[in-house]
Amino acid sequence: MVARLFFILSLCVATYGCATTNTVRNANQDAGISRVFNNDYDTVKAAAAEAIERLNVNIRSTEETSTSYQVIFSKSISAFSWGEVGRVLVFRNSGEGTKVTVSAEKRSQLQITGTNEQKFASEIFAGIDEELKALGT
Amino acid sequence: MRCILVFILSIGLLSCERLEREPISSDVTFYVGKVAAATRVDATKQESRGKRVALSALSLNSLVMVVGSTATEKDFGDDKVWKYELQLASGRPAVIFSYNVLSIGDCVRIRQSNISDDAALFLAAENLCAAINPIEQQN
Repeated sequence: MVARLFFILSLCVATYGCATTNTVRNANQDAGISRVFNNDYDTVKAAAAEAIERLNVNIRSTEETSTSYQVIFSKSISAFSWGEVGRVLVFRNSGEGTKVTVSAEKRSQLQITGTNEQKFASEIFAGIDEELKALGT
Repeated sequence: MRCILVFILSIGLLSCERLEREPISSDVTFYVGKVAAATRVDATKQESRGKRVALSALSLNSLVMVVGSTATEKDFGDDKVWKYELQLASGRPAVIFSYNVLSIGDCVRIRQSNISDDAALFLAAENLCAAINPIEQQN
């Protein structure tokens, strides 16, 4: 009985759905946590690229369009996490300053451990701040 | 009992994978250069964390300096990184790998750490590169 319950529970967990890099790549552009930096687009874009690179994540793709610069990243599996995937968007012409949006998903939707979106956002925003400060802007 | 101990130890070791950010070097030098060529290359072919190899060789009379910016892990995916060939204001060429997106002819500032192999590329005002064009014409 217990074994059957465990099996059913495992099936439910396995079939609940996993986030992939495509999940965050195709997410709404407004999804995630945003912050506006008081610098031009090109400077913030470069700072964001460097900030992400300094994190212990894998950069999976970078792309620039007429409206934004996008970085897709993933974080490796660990004992308490199946890993996470995330996206950073730097918006061109986002009004005063330059808006950066960070969104992230845990690969396992049921997982309560691992790095959450708030943590990714705060680390990336802090990294951008450091880059801008180091640049003397 | 032994299995439980091994399991706990394994978890303890693997759980060290927290989100961490490398600090920026406080001792840096800025250089100015112009993007002469840009190509997309496979990041996995770059040396893992062996980025930023040789801008420190700026003081040397080397033909090509290689500075990577490809912080990668072993399980790195199929990412592409930009390989920029730069013409520095000093007249020397440099090669830098970066995730920043730049265009040929862009004027850039290069931030190079004096105590590590860390380097970063930032778009700069065009007037900073005004002196570079005559050097290119000489070549």
